[in-house]
Amino acid sequence: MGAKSVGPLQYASRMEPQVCVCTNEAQNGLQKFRVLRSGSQIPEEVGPCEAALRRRKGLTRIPEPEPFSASPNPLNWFGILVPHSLRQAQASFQEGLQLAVDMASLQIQINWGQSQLRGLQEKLKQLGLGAA
Amino acid sequence: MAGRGKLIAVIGDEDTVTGFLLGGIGELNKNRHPNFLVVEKDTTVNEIEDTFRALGNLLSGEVEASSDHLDPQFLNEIDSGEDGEQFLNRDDIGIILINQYIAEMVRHALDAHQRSIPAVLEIPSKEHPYDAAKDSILRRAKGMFTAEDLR
Repeated sequence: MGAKSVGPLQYASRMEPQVCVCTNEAQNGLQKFRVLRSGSQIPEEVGPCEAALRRRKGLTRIPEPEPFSASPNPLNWFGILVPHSLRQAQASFQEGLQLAVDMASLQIQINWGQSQLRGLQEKLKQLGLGAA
Repeated sequence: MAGRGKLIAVIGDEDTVTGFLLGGIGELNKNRHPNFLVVEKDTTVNEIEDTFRALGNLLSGEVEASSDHLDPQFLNEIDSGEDGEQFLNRDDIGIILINQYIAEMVRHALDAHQRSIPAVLEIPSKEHPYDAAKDSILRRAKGMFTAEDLR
């Protein structure tokens, strides 16, 4: 397609995110990220990726997942027929996003571990000074 | 309890940003600033910082000792709240992806970021492979142990 055919000049003028993250509190009390794709169901959530609410007959209104994402595929920015390599690239980046989200969760755990360790090291120092 | 859906922001070169936008993270509308920044040859460090640095960190006085290089005009603009929306200050962003070579340009801003959310992830680019020695998190971990601790 050429280097200039796939770049910022082709971006849409309006974009809706199809992938978000939601934060859950894990058993140890730390925040954990989870990928949220448009159309998946998280009843109590509202936010940039909220699904449209629909009223069910006779039941309390609860948010329902949209049957099909209304957001256009970003692949369409680059034409109707795009090379297979671009589709593969999109799939790779989607996998990469899941990995990035997992890494972000791990990073939170690392930061927590570091702060715990710092606290314990301080305590140890104080105990050491106290004993002396 | 599950939290609200949050965006993934990206600060990177053209290929990195295009790739992640293909992945579906992009938000661009008239109501909010975009959640991505394409860093090109003529993008200044101030522009990158402006996008990244949290208004709250500066206003609350958590200014690093190394921040004396900041342009006073920039600081005045921050205080008056005239600057554009920064990723760290937005409460609708959960993760910021940033190419490591760009993170190096704004290392002081990254090191000043202490909150767990938004999480800042340094990622490689096509031209610059990932170097663990430069990563903020791993550098902090490296300095935590002395030789005596490990005996």
